[in-house]
Amino acid sequence: MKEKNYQTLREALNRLPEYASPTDGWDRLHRNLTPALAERLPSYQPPAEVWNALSQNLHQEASVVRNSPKLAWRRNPVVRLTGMVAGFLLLLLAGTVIWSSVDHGPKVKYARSQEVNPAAVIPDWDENEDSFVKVMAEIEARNEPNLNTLALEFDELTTAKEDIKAMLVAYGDDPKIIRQMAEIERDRSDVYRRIIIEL
Amino acid sequence: MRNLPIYFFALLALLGTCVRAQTENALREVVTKTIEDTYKYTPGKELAVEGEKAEIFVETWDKQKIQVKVVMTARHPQLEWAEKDLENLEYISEVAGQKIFLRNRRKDDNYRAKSELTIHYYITLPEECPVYLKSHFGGATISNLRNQLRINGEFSAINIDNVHGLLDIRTRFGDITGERIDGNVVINSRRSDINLFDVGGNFTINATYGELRLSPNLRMRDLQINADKSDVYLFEPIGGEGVAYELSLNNGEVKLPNGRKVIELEKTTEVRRFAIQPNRERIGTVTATVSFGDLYLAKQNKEVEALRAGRN
Repeated sequence: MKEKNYQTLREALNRLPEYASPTDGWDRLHRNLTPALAERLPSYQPPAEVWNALSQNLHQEASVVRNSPKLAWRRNPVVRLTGMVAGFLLLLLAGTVIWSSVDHGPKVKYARSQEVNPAAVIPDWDENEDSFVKVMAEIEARNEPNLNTLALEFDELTTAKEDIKAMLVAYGDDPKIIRQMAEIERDRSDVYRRIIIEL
Repeated sequence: MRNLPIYFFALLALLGTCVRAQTENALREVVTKTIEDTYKYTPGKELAVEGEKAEIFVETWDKQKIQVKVVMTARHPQLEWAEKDLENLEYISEVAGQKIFLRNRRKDDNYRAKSELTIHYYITLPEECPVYLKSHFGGATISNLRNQLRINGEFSAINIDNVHGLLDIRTRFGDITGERIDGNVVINSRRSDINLFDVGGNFTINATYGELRLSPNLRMRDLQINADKSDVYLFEPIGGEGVAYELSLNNGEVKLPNGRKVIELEKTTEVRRFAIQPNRERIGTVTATVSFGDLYLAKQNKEVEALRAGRN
């Protein structure tokens, strides 16, 4: 907000009288506050009989509580032992629950045994590859649609055979894989026979 | 003659040694590593397994947990080799968000194993847990699932029993055998035989180079078959006179059952098309397109029906 009579206000303010605090004002304040108010209050000691009466009353109440029939069972050693056992069992149970809820990761076990060694497998599946290669070369040379279709089929089976051979290298002579090899070889032979007829 | 007993005992000792050596050679060491783990299941979680040369078995239970047991085995006449080859196998499990991912691999891909190595997964989970299996060699056996099952297999036999829901199966060089399947099912197969029995719902089967033997039940609403260079054997359920057929053949033979009114729609040297109208209210449709293969349609026999009734 803009002051409309700024000059008049400034002159009026300048005419106001100025006051300064006495130079020893802070020292006088400090002197009045020392010593502190709490230190200046009077102190009184209670008579000795007050403390004796208090002590006597407390002792009587404690003995009343101790001798109360409601709490007498607490002093029973069997109850105390039972309580300790219950507490222990409770801790055990809580521990078990916490232990079982925590993920301990996978359990790993090793075992050894022996079994009858199966008959060795003779890897004879590559014995006729030379004749297959020759036929495929002839198909490529002739470049006829029917033969090319059969060649593609044969190639797919040959790729599958290579996959199976790779598995036999990586995982050993598993009878199941060898049966798959036999099946692929029969399919390849079937395609090969169809190629021979076309040739 | 006086030395005869000595020769006799020497011969016995020799034979004994031979037999012992033979027995020792006939045995091989089997070293097994078993890994067991359990995961808490909550709705929304799914399990993905990628197995290589692994037999995967998936079963269900009532608990809200997924239990996994992986058994890796090495077999070799020498213990050292069995142990060394087993060390090259690695099982990895990861949890990423809602997905639990399990797989096995070889630590060194170029390592040449001397032992016969096998891996088995035994997985038990709630029936509503979606499952995705990828299997390269080996096999997968799944039963009693009720939600979603996806399988991508190569050189892996797939066995499914009593599975309902969404099924998506892709397989190459791996046969499929299924029983008691109900839901929306898509199968894409190449060089794989498919044998399905007591199946219903909506099925789409695209097969190349395979033999399909399908025995749907009366709950089959829509069965679409696209078979290329494959033979298809369809066995209609007893009481299935309400099923309509649309059959198309390209360069193939067809054999249809007696007692149904067959309408021939097209007949050329290569293509033949048939329609079989339902004898009563339509309960489902079967559409089959077969190229360079044969199609057989026949009734399921009573023995098969009785077997099914006995099981239910």
